[in-house]
Amino acid sequence: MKLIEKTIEALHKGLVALQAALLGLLLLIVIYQICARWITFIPPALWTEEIARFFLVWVIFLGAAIGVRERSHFVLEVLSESKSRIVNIVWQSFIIVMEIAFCSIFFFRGLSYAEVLRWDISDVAQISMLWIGASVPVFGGLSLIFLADLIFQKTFKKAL
Amino acid sequence: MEPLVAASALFGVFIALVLLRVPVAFALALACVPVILLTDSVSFFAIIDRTYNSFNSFLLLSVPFFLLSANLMNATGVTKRLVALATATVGHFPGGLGHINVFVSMLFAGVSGSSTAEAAGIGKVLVPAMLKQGYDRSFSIAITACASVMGVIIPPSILMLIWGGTMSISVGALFLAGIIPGVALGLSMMATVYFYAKKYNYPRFEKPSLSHFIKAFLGAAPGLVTPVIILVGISFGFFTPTEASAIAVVYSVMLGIAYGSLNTRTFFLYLSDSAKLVGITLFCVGTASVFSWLLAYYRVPQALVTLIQGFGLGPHGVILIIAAVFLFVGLFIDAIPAIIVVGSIMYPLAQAAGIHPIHFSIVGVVALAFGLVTPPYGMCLLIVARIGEMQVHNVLKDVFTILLPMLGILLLLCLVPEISLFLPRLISPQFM
Repeated sequence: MKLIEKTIEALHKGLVALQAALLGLLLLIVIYQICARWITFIPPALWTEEIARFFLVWVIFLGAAIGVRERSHFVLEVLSESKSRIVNIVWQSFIIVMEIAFCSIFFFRGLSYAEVLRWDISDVAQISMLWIGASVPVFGGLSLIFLADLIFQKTFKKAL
Repeated sequence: MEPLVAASALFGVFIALVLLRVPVAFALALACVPVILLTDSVSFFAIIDRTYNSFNSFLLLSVPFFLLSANLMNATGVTKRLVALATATVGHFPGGLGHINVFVSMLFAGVSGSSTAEAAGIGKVLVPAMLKQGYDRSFSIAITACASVMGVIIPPSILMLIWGGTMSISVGALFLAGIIPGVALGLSMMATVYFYAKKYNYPRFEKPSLSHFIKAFLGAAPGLVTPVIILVGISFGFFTPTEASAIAVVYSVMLGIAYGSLNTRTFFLYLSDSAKLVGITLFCVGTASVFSWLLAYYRVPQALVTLIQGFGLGPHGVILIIAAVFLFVGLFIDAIPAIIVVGSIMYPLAQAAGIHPIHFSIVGVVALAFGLVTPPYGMCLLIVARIGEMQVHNVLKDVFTILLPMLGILLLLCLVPEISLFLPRLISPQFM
């Protein structure tokens, strides 16, 4: 069990680093695009805008998965928690079930979606759209892993 | 399915899920599930496709860059320099720190596009300073939170970028249109601070000498150049709004290096923080797109237009309804999904009533900005209240006192379109 926990923690840290690196790369691409327009000796590239958009898609989906792990997605706290422990457990379980339902749609339907995109080629950079479409099931899959870990932490870990 | 039934199902499930603390981004998509199941021609593919395609936008790229730039401005000491300039400019008015708070928020709004970054950056510096000088804790928190709403009204503004991108309205014109309303809101808050200062005898700073003022101005000048670069660059077509946001990041990094306050480690720390925030913020945009697409599929906006047209209201009546709807929605959900869901519904209504798209947009942005300080979803208020170590409900009396004249400005904005249309018509009539 320790090994699984450590693996998930490493996965989380790796994702955080990857997502930040992608944002950094995105910044460099947009800066290159501006420089290429105004500085004559820098060759202009048509692919910059397209690749920047693709990186953004990954930054958002990875960020959303990290948000599931860090429980940082925006939540409206109007109703206060119940005094009954049972009610709170049922309530928490309902939220997690809803999240699992949502992430399952993105994982399973996302796999089919990525499969469809496999045969699509991007307009300018001429790369397979699978590279970008894969972000959808990756988000779904990662979020499901993080939710499974959350369920384990909330149920078995407390009991141990 | 009738438009009313579809709208009731979508909003009903969404509100129920959000109240039960399902994350807003997830609730927006999950609310679509029952409607999709009851619609033969739409499948779950729509959820994936609309979400994915909404992210595939070059304009949306400006959001992470403006967030990063605002965070870097806080980290590199630009905020502190702006505070020094504000102190030298308005610190000698009664209730000096209150005026400084509002004035520095106006300045910071010009260098960042994010109210939450503004609330966190300025709150950390000024709330403790106000408490130390004997200002009431609730007032210190309320004025800092309310002043931070200018972050999304005075250009550059993340909300205006999203608005312009979603409804195909010129972002350059929106930026120009936000200047006068933003300054008017700032002045209304300074008037409120004056009355508080007189009532509670709040202290003021010594009037600074000219040399002191010049020194403070020169110190803050590099930071103040940011809005000039952005506005001139976009308005005169040198670069797109997204490129302007990237330039703002580069400029913040250069300032950090020049001030010696930014190193590689700090940069990556802020890069990561901004990336995480972008992930959860923009994810809402994606799922909100599914929600608004389904509303459009069932012709809910058209049904609403027909309904409100039936009341026989003129443009003034319609814009007041629009403002009220945005104020109400802003209470409950984040401004970005609100723009996509509600903005798309209201836009046809505004067009049918003959309201100028820029006027409609500015009223919407200002009304939604108020939502940043009104509970339950008042993000800026939550941030500043945490800094000031006070429960949100204990601050509300002062928040509403400060908001009252600001609502007066919103009313004026609704009734006098020229307030928002004057500058874009003057400077960039080609976008009108």
